[in-house]
Amino acid sequence: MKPPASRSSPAAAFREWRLYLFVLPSLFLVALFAYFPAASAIYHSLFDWQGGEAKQYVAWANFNRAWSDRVLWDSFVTVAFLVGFNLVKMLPSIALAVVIHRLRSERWQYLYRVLLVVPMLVPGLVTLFIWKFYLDPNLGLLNRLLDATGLKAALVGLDRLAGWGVFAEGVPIGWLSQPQLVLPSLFLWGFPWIGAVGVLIYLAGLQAIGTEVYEAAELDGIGPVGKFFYIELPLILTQVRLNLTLLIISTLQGYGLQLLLLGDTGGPGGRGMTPGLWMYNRAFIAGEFGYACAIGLILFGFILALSLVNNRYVRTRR
Amino acid sequence: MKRRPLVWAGLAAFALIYAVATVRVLILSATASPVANAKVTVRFAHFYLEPGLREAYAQIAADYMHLHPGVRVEQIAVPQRIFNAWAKTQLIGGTAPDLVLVDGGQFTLEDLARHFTPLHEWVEAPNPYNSGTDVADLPWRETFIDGLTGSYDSRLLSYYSIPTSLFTNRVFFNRALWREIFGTETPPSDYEDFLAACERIEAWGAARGRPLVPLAGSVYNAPFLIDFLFGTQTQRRQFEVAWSAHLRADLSPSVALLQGRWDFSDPALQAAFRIVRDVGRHIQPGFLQLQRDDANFAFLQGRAVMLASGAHEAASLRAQAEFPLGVFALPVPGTDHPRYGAQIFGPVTEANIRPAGAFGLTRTSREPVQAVDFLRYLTSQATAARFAALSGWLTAVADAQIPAALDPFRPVTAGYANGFDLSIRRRHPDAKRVADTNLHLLIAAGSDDAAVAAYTAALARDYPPALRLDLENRVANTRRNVMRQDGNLAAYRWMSQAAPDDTVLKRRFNEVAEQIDGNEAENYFIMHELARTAAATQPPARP
Repeated sequence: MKPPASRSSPAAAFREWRLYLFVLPSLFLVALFAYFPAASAIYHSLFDWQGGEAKQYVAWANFNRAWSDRVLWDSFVTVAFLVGFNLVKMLPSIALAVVIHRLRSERWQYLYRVLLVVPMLVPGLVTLFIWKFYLDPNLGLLNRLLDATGLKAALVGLDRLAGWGVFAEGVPIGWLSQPQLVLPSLFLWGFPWIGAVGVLIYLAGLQAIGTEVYEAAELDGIGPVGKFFYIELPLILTQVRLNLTLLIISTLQGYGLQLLLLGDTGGPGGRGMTPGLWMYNRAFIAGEFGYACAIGLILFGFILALSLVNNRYVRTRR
Repeated sequence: MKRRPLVWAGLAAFALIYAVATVRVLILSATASPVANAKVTVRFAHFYLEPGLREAYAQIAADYMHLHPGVRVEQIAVPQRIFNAWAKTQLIGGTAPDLVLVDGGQFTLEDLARHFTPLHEWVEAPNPYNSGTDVADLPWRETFIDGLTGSYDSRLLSYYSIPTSLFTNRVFFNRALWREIFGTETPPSDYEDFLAACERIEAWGAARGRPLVPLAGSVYNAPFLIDFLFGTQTQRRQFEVAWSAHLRADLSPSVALLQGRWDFSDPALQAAFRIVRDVGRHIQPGFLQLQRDDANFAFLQGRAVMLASGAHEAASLRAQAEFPLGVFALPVPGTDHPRYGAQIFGPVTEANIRPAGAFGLTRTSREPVQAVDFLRYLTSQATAARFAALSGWLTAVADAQIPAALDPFRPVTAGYANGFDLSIRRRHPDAKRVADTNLHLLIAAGSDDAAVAAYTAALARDYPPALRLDLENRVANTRRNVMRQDGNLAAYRWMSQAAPDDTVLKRRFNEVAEQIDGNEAENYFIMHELARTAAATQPPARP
């Protein structure tokens, strides 16, 4: 009698080979819609291509051009600021997750989780439009708030002292029409920066912490702040790292916010131009699809590098 | 177990909604007569979402469907913000509608050549829907206000679109507010009056603590003012640098900049910057971040007294405004104006306005003959008059009757052609990007001289390299087009040899050969000028 194949042997892996057929449709779709476009972008980045069948092989010319493209490198500086802003914007979500986690009543915890999820039902585009309205110089909530609280006068006074040339009496603040205010506006966007998905991910991590850990901490006389720094934060670093990776990827790739708020040129002075928006501009405004593919690949390289750095240096404790 | 009733209730609600939706779709499909059994479908796409226009198109499509049972005409209205990306994706994917709006300079030469069908054979024949009129025997192209010259591409040697409308630029004003401020409803009569009115409005609003701006503005509306006024100051320069004497824009100003025949310190350009600043300072603050709807909103809510826009805006503004609407043509400085008179020939003509609302026939159209037939119907004199009456838009069809309400928008044909602006009439997207993203410098607070100097310095640094890039792209586009036409040329030659008596084939061969020669000549000229001026206009090396 033939001995049974071990669980890890090739024979065992292919014994029920028909089961692999069930995976094929999914694999095909992933290949078609995820890997084929990516492979096509790599291929077309080597061509002077306008989006159709006619194209001319230019080898590395698109990448060489990208090297001296001032707009592209300035856009990476802008996106570096945005990544920095988003790191700061992670903090309120972590704080809220901890606060919800520490609620004694499960019913209240549930209610807060529901309240967090409800805004997710509002389409992202609507949220963007609402924010655009907030930042409107004439009607916007932000300028009204500054006027009502007297903060506008303070800003005008500061401007006079520092000589910024941005805030002036009797002139509504053009948050998205003055180059100096574009980045601050993008920072303000989304205030109070509570990301529902982020909070839920942190909550999942917090709920995995055993009660015995808290009990031991209490026996050692550790207070609420100490619990956060010595127990909660270290034990949700896996979730923080996941969110950090997703955040870096979405910030580097994203351009919808800038496109809607500032237009395809990145707004005044091009201060809101990000690599993704520049890629869009080159493809759909200038019709330079080949060059846009090259920008996409450079962006891919940056994202990959930053993700590796993140995985390498943001260590988690198990 | 307790939750089971809830689960069933959810499933029941889902099934009910699904059933209602299915029944509704079936009913709509069954009752969509007279085209329920349509065998032919013509789809046309545009980005005009103004009230009244879509209804007008829909009504005319319905009339056409009644005239042609078995034909369904579908209108696809896509917001302008995403139309460019949407249309290019559809065209590249081969799923574009039969007719696509080609206004706005969003399509390059290669796009036109690759995705759209040349219409020369059709436009040379009379429009059958004009039978019984004075123009019954005229070629279709001659029934348009511009003789269809705006649709003709000299590099492709054919007509690529059929226009339906005409946009003249005007300033709309709130007559009620105007009377309140000035005690009269008479609009400003000259340029200085116009500026004085703007200042008076600001002072009036400030004195009453009322946030009131003279001009509503947005990235869409501002060019109606600033590009127009800029063009008044380049009338003479355009005339000096133009290599052809026609009224339309060509590449001559761009090449002349490379050649050093003008630069941003030129008195004409300095005057153009100043005139833009003059008016830009009175447009609502932050207009660069605002879209067309924002400007309309400010005007309709009475927070702005004036709004510059095209004639196509009149019907929707009239429908929405709760105040009497006035219209006037933007006054331009006269030849005796102390600051601007030296650069201007005189009043600006609108005779060279390119008709708008132009639809191109896509190469992937399954029903090209029917689609062109619909365009013929849409642009017949009778339908064009009906279109103008229904939509409140001017028509591109000559001698078609328009409602009296549109009289103030009739094009002014006397005067002189405006010169170039910094987008060289949308021919250079990258150069336009540079001009737009630096515009804030020109309208910034502070002294006029400092603002003009800052804008001049920014353009002197960034504009020439951007212009070079645009011209290089144009050369590459043209080269690809020539490569494509080489195949056609070879085919016509081979077919002509097989049928030596076929005069049509011979004519087509000559046309294509002429087109290739023209394109190559222009390309070599631009390439020569790019190479010759490379040292002077290259971008600075990256630090």
